[in-house]
Amino acid sequence: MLTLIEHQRAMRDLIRRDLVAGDPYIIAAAKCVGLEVTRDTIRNWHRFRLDRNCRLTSAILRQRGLYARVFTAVEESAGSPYIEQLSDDFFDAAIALGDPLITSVASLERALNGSDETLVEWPCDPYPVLAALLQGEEISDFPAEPHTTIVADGSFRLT
Amino acid sequence: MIRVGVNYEGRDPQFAETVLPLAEIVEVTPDAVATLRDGVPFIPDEVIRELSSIDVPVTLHGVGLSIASADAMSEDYLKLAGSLMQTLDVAWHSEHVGYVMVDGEHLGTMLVPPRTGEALELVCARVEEIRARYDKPFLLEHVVNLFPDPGGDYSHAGFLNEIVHRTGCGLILDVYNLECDAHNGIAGVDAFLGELDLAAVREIHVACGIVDRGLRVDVHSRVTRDETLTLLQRVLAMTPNVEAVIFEILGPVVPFLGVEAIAAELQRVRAAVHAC
Repeated sequence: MLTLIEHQRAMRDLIRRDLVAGDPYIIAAAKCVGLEVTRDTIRNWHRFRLDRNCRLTSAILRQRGLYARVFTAVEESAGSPYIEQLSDDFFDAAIALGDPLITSVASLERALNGSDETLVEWPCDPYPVLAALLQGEEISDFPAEPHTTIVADGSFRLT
Repeated sequence: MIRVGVNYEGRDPQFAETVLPLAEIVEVTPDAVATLRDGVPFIPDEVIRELSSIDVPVTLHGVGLSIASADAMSEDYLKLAGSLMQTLDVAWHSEHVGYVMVDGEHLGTMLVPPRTGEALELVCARVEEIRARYDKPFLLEHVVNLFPDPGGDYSHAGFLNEIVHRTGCGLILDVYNLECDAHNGIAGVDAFLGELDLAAVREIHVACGIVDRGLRVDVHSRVTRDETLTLLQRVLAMTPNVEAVIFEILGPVVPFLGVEAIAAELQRVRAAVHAC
């Protein structure tokens, strides 16, 4: 029989890393429907909270078919129960894609959620992009026209 | 008098205006009202001011303490609870007999420990530590288990009874958790209630979640089922020292359920309590 710390480490490794320790209980846990229900509950809860807290970034990622990729990266690293940290990880993963418009949207939303005054560079006029995302409409191909926004106190304006 | 109340996560004027006036007691989860600053959880002043203005008894009910983690409890949680203890007139505080962290890594869910002598010693020592730290009554709640029963040296109720016997802490009896464990084949309601030290129960929770792939899941996303309130009434008749019944709902779900529905649910639960 496993000690308490061995049991808990084995359960963690099972849920988060799909590693099955050679213990009869852990082997049974690996085969039970509760494992998938637990994993899906964790995923759905993270997705639900990210969609509310990172609405714009979630929307553009979904439009570009990149949401699952970014979400998976966040899930693999998720180490905090706090939405602020989860959101930061989500923005980081979105920005790491290297798409200039996604980077702008994620940077703007991170700044809106934060308290520091922040400059955000855009490859195009941000207003039609943000309007489309907020209204759930497809983002058109806007003319390349660099803009800069300044974000402070939960709002933003063009510089 | 049994007070009927609800949990509240702060910063929701609609909830404060519509639901809180109907509550006779308010449950606050320190982890849920906290936010991060430079990676460290803290409770903003405006939240503390808002919670301080609640004019009915306030209790703290944690989810992040991880009292059954073999390595350590969460010091972050203890600091959050401590900051609320200093500023609010907390009637009592409580946690779950479970763990959410292993070696400091968050699981994203709460698991039950095996009911072994080792786990019992660990939990009891920590209850003593918590009671020494805060001069407030401390209650523990049983946790829903979606995995096979990890077993151990004690039965489900026997493990809780032994904690109560050794430490003098009280219990929260969550009747929806009982329904989940019964539905999922973990523990029978009659056997559990027949063995549990019901005099130690000071608070009862009601809630509702979903059935997913045949398992009843404790996600606090809906108003209670009629069956849950029937079980509540049955349990109330057996528990002489209950002081509060709390309807639990996840804060992020509130906009979808609507504050009017939650207010109506609070009145429904109160009617069920008073009908006993």
